[in-house]
Amino acid sequence: MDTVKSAKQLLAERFETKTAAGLVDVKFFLRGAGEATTDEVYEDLNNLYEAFERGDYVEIKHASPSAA
Amino acid sequence: MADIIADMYSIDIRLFEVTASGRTVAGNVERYKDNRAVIMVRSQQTEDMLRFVSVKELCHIMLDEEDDWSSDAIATIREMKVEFDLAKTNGDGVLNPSRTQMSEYLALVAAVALMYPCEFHAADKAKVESGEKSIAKIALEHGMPGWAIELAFNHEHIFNRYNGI
Repeated sequence: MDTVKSAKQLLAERFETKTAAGLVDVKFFLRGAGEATTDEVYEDLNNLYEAFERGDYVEIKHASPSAA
Repeated sequence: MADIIADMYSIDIRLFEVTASGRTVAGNVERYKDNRAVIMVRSQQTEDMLRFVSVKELCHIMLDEEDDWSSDAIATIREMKVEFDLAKTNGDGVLNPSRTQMSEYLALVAAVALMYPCEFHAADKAKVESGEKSIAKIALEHGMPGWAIELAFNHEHIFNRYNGI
């Protein structure tokens, strides 16, 4: 039995977890997606999230509403 | 811009540049029910793209209504993969765009309008057509990608509606 998850399954599971944690909306900025397969987009998104989870990021801005 | 949006919409916004491989994803924005948003921008992009992606994702926070929200990433990607151009004047754009498609288009247009105000468009377009100025030079002046300048020129009937507002 093949237990290797597809990029789509991985992404779907990732977003099930996020939704349970309070996610209400997600939007993507895709470039060249017209020429790419959906699987390639799923893989690139999984790569993005995995990099973020590894800490491969720099926080550029944190904006909070000022106290009224 | 992020500070103003955070204040106006009472939302906590964190913006990250993420070092990740992949050519199809420029960035994303997530919104949570506890009034916070997380924006990720893939770092391996040109400076003008990093800036444009950040602005476009911030525009989603301003423009998207609750009816536009969805946390179903798979469905959202599937809809975005459909070739669409809502502003095509020759009639072959999407006739009944989904809310996801509308949201993407509006955020894109808003980002262009913010970074390249409408009052520049007509004069710059005339200069490009006469060979006096290049798209690349205009893009450099406004710190945004050349394709976004071309988008402004090619969709002038949309931007003209907002010129002077």
